[in-house]
Amino acid sequence: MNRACSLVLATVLASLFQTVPAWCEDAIKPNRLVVALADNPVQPAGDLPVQSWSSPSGVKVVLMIHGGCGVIPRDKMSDKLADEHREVLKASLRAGYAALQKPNAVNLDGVVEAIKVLEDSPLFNAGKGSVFTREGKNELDASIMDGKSKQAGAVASTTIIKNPITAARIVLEKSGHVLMVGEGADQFAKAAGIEFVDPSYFKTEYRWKQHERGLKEEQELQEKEKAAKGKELGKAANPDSVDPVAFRRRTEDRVGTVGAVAIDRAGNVAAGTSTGGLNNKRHGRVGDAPIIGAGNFADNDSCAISSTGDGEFFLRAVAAHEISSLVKYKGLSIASASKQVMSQIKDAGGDGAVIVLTRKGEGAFSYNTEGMYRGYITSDGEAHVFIFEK
Amino acid sequence: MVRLCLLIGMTILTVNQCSGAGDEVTPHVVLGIHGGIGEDKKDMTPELEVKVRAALNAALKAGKLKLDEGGSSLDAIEAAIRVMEDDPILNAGRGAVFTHEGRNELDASIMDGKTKKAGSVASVTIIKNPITAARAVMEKSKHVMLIGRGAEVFATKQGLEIVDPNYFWTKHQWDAINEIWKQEAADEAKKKVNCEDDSTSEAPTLRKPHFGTVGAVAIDKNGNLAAGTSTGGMTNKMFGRVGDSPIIGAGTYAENETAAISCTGHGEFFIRFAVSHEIVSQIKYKKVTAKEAVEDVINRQLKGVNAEGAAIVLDKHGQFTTARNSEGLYRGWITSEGKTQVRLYDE
Repeated sequence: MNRACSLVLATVLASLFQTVPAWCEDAIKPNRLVVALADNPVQPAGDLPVQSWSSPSGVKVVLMIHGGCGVIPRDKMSDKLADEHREVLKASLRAGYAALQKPNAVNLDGVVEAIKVLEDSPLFNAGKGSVFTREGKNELDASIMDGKSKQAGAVASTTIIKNPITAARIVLEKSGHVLMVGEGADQFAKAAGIEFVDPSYFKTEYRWKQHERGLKEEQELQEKEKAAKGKELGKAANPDSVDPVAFRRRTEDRVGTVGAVAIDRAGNVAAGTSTGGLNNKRHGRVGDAPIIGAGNFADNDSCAISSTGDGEFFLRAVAAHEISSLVKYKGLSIASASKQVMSQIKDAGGDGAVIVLTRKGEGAFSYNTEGMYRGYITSDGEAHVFIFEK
Repeated sequence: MVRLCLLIGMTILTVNQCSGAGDEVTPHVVLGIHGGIGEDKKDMTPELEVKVRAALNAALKAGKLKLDEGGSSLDAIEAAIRVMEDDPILNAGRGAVFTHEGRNELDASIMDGKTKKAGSVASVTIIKNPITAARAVMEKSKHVMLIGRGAEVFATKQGLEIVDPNYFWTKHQWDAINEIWKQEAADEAKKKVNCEDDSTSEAPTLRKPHFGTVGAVAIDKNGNLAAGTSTGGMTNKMFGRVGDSPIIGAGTYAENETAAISCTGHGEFFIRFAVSHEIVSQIKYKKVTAKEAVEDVINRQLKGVNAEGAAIVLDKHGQFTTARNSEGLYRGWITSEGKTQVRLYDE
């Protein structure tokens, strides 16, 4: 009777709040997708897709990853290309999982190894295959944080480090600092023995075309505005003066990032994020990925968060720390907290997504775009990946 | 004798605990500023004290003037911070500390509590007033944060005042970095003699870390809050190191619904604890007062990890307070009627 009651209640509550209160966890099957939303590619802000899992005895989510929410539009995504993305996501989950299984493995190992696979793949906007700046260069950002010690490391605008996430970790472990940028970051990582490459290593044909197309579209847009505004146009010709909201770029030009959140055997959470940033960003622009509190945050007392999306909106909202605070101080579930913050960002005009993991092994994905490259792996080694599926 | 020692010890302890208490909550404040943790009290000279007080008073006056003229809270904090940047006594703009390589790399950020828009610059070397560049990033670019040469090119295109890097050079800061270099050379020599295996000392050892920063929080007649922070960073910092000052949520945060905050201290910890956003979150979600929130973060969380620092907070009702776990904090505030307070240590 009791069990039936709680099952009904759980179902009702789940549909209402799209989350699972701790007391009814036993009513939910392991890894069952709690919420399945209508298949609507344009989600109104109040009805965002959230996937979340409970953590029944034994089976926990130990690692979650994302490859950004700037997915290739469904109509342009061939089955083959989708499968290629899925394969890399699975390889990333397996690499992170294997790292976590090693004796003496710590949370940061899982995060770093999972992200390295995504950085090395040309399919995702991080490491190899990063987007270009307006000047046709690759400037990479990454960050990592340990939820136990609350130590963190980050690099921004690096140009020669093969795996920026490894540089972020070395900043955490060896520098005495948290954030290192530009040439100073490159020099520090190189001196610390981190693998470096010629900047041409990061270039891919796909991203170069995206860069050229982006510049062309920007020019056309400006000319259009010029014609519309007539005399005032001297201003509009300056890319810096274009209104950010009016100046909508294609989603896939704006929101590519990779990230991971993991728990180790001791139950410590960690988060990592890595990105090539915004397509055709201006030299020196830094988004949310290397900023602790915005694109990355981890606290054993709440959760680990990695985000992706329109970085400027995440910076202003201090999005990752906001989710952590909603969980820690307002007592929201991770699913409700991440959904609330993604709605706020959507309302403000930004696209984005987050992955969230608690030390109990409860995970949540939330995004406000058409899809999100993502996946999770449980303590028994079973990997699940998604792109458009809700 | 032992008893006497104990008594003295306890007195010192009590005094030390008091020194972290921060300032009482003052209502009707329209502008609050800080000029960093500053010198240890034992190193403070009467001449320096006069100069510091003059700089703080001038900053408060400049900011208040903007508000009296009908300017926004952003105008007020920009004006106040510019005065402190221009003053060679404080570690921001002219008079900034030197990096390990003997350069001045400046950071600044600003946030508008009404729109929650923000702007920041980091590691800039030729922009005379980094706070103005941060504001330009907020108002004239699509971005929030620009660093290094990219930020400098942007500021130049925006017509901001550009200076030769020598402009930021001051003798007292140059002497300070020289002393550190000498110390490091001596350490190095000693290590060679002792043949000690000291592989952990990759990061430069900081003899006397200087966590100077300047910042301001303000509220205007429309009830809009704003916060800003500007710094030369940490003495002897590594090339490319960025602290909390240009990080929204760490060194600076403002939102009309809650409060405006500017921090100073050991920046690495302020980033990791997302200090200014943590204060706001506690007020909003934990339902504590601004005073309780700032004391918790500065005197419990940060003190717990031996991180030195301070924060100034102006809430939406115009109530101003500070908290610090350091001996000093150069600070001041001014009320709507123009009543001014300037303090350096416990007063």
